[in-house]
Amino acid sequence: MESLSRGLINLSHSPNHKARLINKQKAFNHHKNSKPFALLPLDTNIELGGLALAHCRLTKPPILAVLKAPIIMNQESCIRFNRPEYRWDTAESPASFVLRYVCNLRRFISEGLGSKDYSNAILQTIIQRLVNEGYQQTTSPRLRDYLILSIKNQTLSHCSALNESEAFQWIESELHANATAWLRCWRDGLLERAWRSLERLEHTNPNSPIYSVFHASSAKPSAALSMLGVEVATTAGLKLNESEIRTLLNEARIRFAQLLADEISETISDCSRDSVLEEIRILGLNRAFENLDRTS
Amino acid sequence: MLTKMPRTNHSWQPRTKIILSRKHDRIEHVCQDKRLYLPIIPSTRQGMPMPVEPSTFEFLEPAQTSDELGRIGPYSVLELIGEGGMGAVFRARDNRLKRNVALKTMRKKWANSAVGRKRFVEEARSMAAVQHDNVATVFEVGVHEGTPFLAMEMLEGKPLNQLIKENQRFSQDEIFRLAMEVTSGLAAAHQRGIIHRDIKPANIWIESPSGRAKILDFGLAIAGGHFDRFSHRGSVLGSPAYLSPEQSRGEPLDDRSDLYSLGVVLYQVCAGKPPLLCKTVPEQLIANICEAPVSLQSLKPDLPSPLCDLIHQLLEKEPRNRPKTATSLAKRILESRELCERQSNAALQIVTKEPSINTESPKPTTTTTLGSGLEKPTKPKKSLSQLYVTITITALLIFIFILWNRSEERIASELVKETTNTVEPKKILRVSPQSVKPLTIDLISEELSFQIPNAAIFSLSIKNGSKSRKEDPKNLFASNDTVVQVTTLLSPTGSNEIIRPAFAVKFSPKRLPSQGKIEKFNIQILTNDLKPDTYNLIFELQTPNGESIQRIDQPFTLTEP
Repeated sequence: MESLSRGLINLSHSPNHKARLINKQKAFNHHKNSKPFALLPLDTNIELGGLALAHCRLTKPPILAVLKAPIIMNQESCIRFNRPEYRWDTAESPASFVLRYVCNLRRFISEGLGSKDYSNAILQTIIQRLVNEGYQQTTSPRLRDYLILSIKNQTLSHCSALNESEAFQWIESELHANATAWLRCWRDGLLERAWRSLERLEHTNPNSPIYSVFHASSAKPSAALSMLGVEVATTAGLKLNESEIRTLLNEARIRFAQLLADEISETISDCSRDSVLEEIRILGLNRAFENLDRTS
Repeated sequence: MLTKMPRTNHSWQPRTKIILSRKHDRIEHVCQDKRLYLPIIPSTRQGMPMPVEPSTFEFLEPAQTSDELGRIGPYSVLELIGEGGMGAVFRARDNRLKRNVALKTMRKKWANSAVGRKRFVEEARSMAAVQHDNVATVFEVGVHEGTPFLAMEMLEGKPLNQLIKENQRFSQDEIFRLAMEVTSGLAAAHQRGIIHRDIKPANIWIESPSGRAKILDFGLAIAGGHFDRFSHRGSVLGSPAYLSPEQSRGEPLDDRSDLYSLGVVLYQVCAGKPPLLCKTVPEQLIANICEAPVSLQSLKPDLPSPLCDLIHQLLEKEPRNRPKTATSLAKRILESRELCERQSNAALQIVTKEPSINTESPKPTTTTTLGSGLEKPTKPKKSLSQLYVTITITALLIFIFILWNRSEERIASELVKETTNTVEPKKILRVSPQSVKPLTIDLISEELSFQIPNAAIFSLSIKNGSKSRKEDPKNLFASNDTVVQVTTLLSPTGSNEIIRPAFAVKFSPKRLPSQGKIEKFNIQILTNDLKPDTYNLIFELQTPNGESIQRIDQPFTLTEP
């Protein structure tokens, strides 16, 4: 019965998750006095394309099964992109799959090599190769592993044109799967995608400004609901009362977490619950899933 | 398509529509493999057909008169006006209604493919669903003996890409008109849930002699959803230089993707080339996603800045930073146009203003506008004595200037020199709600009921309650342009709708009251567009970034005259 008062988040697209969606009113009553959710109360905030992206510590210990407070759930707030077949390594269009993250990859390489031109050349070769040959039966368990290896190989092949010692130093220190800068780059890419998808949802349904509310709340975690209301009135042109803001905030939080979980599950070969949770832990994205039920 | 192609014989430029797909295992230029799409290959109306491949129109029924190539159902096919991998476009005559039409047909080879047929029908449906002055009209879609065909209105004029290629110069008014008309056509399509996905100069027809723009080719349009049922998931479809960043990433699309492509078109119209033009498709896609376009103003300094700003807003990488809809873009275009006109009028006033030293008789000015019909003003004749006086005064001034310039006590000139050499950027401090806490506003209007055609004017006051110079916002933010602003929001009671009936009143450090003082100011709301109702009026004191400092909620009634 514990799950009755919890919100559910589907990490690996279980078809029976609907059975566990329950008791909205009970959850609502329990939760309505809680503070608005602040996405990943942050160590740092960076501005990317005008959007404050939340960062949390990579070293933060994993929270795998701690469910502290219930959240509001309803049929609409639990999105299932039930497409386990649509993974990075089985995608019909590997190049366009990688293009999703190209801005972050470009920034990562540019920072490492200190040149946008080399960054562009390396990425062009990777994209062209993906178009021509696909992933070439890669054994990498995750897209990010495949990509860091490709970047490494391409950097090595460009070494003669680069400052060799600097390039080698970069390869040694940053071009491995668990390097901090690389994980940050990857996490930024996933977060950007999730934010973008959330904004698209708001655009298709302007009367439900989930993106505006969640974005305002993430940018100002300590803001009162009334302040968020004013912010939303300014950005989305809608007047919402505190109760509506609270409901939207909960819905947005669940949707954002689901979008992020979908995004992560698409980039790993084994999209089981444990693998997705492990990836969330490695990337330091736990806070986005705190207090949400992690169903299989 | 549906087109009389221009008479000039021009080389064929392939429409590079691309598919990034593993299944196809390569980047395909559809014009090469003739897959799925119908690139139009112009032919001359009088000369030889374009030497692409021999055309056999086996699907045509035999001609019944000497001036026709053949027949398709009720249509007499008169002339080939364009041909591509998937089919051809003919000038034809509808024998039932006795009118000329553009008849788009599909080659049998592609008509046999279910996907090809479905896409063809989808295009017809999309176009037929949008009945608008700025979208080419579809008359009929059908299949004749296995050959799908689409009858559309026959247009006179040229496609926009042709005009650009011919280096046609577009005036500011023409650019605004083009933007407005394409936006109107897009708004009509978007209202029906149709996203065009292939807005580019070749798909915008400029009718002659009216100059009206019409959107063509809904061959890639999707309706009622974000996914294309006929292409692979994540496939990148479109013309590379005109793809929006989200299109380049193979993401689900919404109406704002078309607005980006329109931005590319307008940029090209202004600058003569698209904002990002690369040699290879991967390079182009990466540039579309990551590279910011070169500032239009730096390329064309003579373009008015409101127009450049508008185009750059359309070219924002994130859809959320573009206008939300085509309808809101239309409003934005009107505003920009007005702003340009105002700027141009103001500039004209400055140029045409009299020096006003001589008050005796106003002389005609030396500036005229092109075609204004004004005669060139004649220079007033100066008398000889006036000439002597002028020369003497000028010589005297030069002499004084030389003496002063040699003086060692020339402090002012040194200062000027120094300041011009070391111009420091103005320090703008971030205004936080906490730092301007001593500032408060109050509503002092007693009248809160107004009649409709009259403007509602509210008196407010702003108080600077700071007790020391250290906490005085007027002093703290002395170098900022704006310290605080008062925003007005209006909401009919019982509704979620929020109206912004007035511009924000901005307070510069100069405008702020001094320590311990109160200043009055007015906010005027135009009531013309409001319905009689009771409203909740909100005055909010904000930082320049829109962070709330203080809020006044006040009910307010609007009555019939």
